Amino acid sequence: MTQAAPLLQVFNVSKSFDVPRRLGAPPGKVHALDDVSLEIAEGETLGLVGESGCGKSTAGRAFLRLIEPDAGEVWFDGENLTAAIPRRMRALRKRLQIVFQDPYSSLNPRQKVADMLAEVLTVHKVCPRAEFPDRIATLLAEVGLPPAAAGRFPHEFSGGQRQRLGIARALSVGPDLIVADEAVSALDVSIQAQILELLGRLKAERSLSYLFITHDLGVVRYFCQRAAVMYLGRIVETGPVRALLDDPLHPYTRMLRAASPVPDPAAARKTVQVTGEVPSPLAPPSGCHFHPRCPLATAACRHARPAVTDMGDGRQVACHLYG
Amino acid sequence: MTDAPVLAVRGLSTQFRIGGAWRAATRNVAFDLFENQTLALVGESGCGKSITCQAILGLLPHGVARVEGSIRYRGRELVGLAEPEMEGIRGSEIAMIFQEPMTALNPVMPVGEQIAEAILVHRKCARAEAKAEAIAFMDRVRIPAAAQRYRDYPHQFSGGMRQRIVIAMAMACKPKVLLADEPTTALDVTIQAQILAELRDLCANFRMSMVFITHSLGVVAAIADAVAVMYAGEIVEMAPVEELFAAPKHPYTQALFRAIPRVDENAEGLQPIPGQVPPITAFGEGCRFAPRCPARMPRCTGPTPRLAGAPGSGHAVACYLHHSETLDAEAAR
Amino acid sequence: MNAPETLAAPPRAPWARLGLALWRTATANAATAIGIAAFLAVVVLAVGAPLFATHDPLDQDLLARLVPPSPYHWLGTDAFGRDIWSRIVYGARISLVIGLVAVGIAMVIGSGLGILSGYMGGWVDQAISQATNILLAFPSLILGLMVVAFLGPSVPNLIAAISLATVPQFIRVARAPTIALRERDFIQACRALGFSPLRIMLRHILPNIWPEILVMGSLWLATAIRVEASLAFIGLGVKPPTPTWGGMIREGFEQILTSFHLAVFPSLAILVVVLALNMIGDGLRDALDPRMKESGK
Repeated sequence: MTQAAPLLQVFNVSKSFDVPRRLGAPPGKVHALDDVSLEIAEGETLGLVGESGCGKSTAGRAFLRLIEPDAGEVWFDGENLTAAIPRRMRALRKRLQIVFQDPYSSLNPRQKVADMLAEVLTVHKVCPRAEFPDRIATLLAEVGLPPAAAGRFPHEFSGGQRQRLGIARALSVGPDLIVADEAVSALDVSIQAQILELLGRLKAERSLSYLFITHDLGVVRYFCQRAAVMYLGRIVETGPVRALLDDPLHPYTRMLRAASPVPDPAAARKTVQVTGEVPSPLAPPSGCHFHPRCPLATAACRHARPAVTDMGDGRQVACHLYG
Repeated sequence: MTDAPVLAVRGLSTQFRIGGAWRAATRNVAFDLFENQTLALVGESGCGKSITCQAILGLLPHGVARVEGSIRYRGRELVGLAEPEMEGIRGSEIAMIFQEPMTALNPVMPVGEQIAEAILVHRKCARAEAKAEAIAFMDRVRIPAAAQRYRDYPHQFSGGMRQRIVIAMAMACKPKVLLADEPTTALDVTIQAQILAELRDLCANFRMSMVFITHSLGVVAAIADAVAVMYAGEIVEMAPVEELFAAPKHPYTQALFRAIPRVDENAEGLQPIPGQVPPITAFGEGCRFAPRCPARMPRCTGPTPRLAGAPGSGHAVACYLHHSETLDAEAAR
Repeated sequence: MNAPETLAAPPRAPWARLGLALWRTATANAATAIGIAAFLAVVVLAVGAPLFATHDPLDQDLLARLVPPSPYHWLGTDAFGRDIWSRIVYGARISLVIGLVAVGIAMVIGSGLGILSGYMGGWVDQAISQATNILLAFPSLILGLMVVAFLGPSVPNLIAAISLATVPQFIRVARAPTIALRERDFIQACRALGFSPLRIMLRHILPNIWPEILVMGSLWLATAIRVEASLAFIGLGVKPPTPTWGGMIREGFEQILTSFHLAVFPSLAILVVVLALNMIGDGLRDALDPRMKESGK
């Protein structure tokens, strides 16, 4: 892809949360992110996939410092975000935006659309106040909403339209990178396709990069160039999407791929080797977190955390099978 | 399958009182469910698939909703059945499981006891016997260490395990029909795959019939024998699963297939369906998909197309594009 | 089918929203309507005291002491021959002013601190919450008593005392919903957009929680009026001869066996106001509670 330095570089980011346990017992610790590293090139869409509780959402927020990482560094366009002072960070936020999953809780119910967008334009002094109406109408048109939407409250819109509003809000500051946190997961398929198409078009028109967080491998294949698979706070495999889905290396990626429903009765009925559940993140298994569910686990998997192995062609896997 | 259907639904319409007026949420829904068959009701939110299921079990609130048409369970009419008789059907003949297992479980009662209670409600037996059977059912749905976990509470289980418990509860009375309302939607894919396998297995072993509600064609492919595609309160296409996936006929079904990003194939472009599902208050006459349909014809906004198909094919479509062949076939007969 | 998209509370301008909520409960709920009417009546009496009073509240008529209710002295006179009705009407001013100002101050400071505490978390939250807990450990009357005993009884000091006793209530009321809101995506979106914490707290959190604060305000206004009266009753109120309800009860208490009307009428006045405010508060709470919305229609 590009030879220049990646737009976003994440080095060894970790984040743990204290979880209160029952009375008396010491609080538990959940390692939501455990030594996560990745990068996103300019104009690239990186899919971050995994099941609920794997830390993918925390990752997106930690990279934007909506959650402060415990350790590690995040660099954006040559600047260390993790070291930025609050004032600098607030200015940098113009370039890093986020779109959320739930179109209902992501908009302030008491703010009209026009007020919501005008507030952003005011705070970041994007343009003189006189140009606000034009600017707002342009933004709404860009996400496929009529100018009349400006005068309405969020509850007057459908789920898909609200998601468009969330996107308009993110676009209003003119970002370079958007974290889409399950941005199409709550939508019906026909609407999901509309929003994916919109995000794709915006990417081309505004040369955006995305960190696309999702649990749906189908969406990843359609929308992303590269993907990283997470399991219990760790990235287990990274690679170009087609290679990763057609020939998964990590046993967990294989399981995820095999379990993903395909609209094809013949293929869907093949018995798939899917066993077990994600263990409690409060007490993750030793060594490779996946070993209790892994059909290929060996003694090494129980004791040692597998190192990341470079497999060539941009593929990396953290598994003892390849170490 | 030449026997009489276990469940025969005809002309089922449900109406809701919204802002003083009665609005039809589903219109003229009809299908047959045979023994040991799984019928998937698939559609987007608001298409009426859940309401249809609730109507079958008589769960729609009186006064706010009304049900017209006919629902026959083994020849017995369920529409208009008195509540005490309906209670005899619910659970023991027709059971239901939901998307969110937590809502179906009592949070302050051990799960084993909840299953045992379900057994006792429908059959007279000793408590110890009910307990033994409850543990057997927990074992049957593959809850590890079932006997030890008998006294655990719902919050001590994962989402997938909770859904297994709800399934065990539903199975406890050995129902003939299971209504499953998006039971895997809230679960992760690896858990979903396991639950779907479990349900397939249970249906086969108990010769149980199932109405499976879902919005995912991928899940339909994995579980269903027959499929009814619903749009805006109506069934627009119905067919055996292989046939529907091989040759979808209704423009809506076709559009749905083109809108899904597939994990197994590279697609160069999705084709979103323009517009959105009309709200229940704006359901009109004619084909309700017409405003979004790429193949719309003038007659589509006229009288509503009937769900019909070539006799014997089992593939029915409610679309004028396909009506000529249907009518030809009818004429030939 | 899922219920057609949940129609949440119609988000309007805060005042319109409150007015609407009040109107809705008043029309649906007789108790609230009575509460509103009674409170408004007291406010009108207080504002227009010179119009409604039949006598000068300070005028002593030593020839007509301890007169029982009569056409000339509607509610009778006290030990100095002062007209009780007129004193109650003027006393309403003191009660309402002290109550409204004290609760107003407590509301502003308390909700400010509560939002700050809930939104910032960490040591800020720790410090504010601990201070709140300490203040809450004292019954509000005792706290007010200590402050007034220390500073001396005067209207500003009484206001300060009652405010201090009421502030922790508002901190608590504001903090809990703030914590819930902080995790909502739209607040996270504000942070991602680079909004300052102050802007987020004032423009995004406050408008979403202030109806709850207002409900609390109406309930605590009742308490504040009661506390003021209690302080006056034990001699820590506004100095005589200024008429206050608590002071009147105190004076009347000495004659309770012979002329019970001296204490009874100001007590009734307090009862009416406190009851009215509680009715309004309960009605408002129901109207603003989303769980009540379904049946409310």
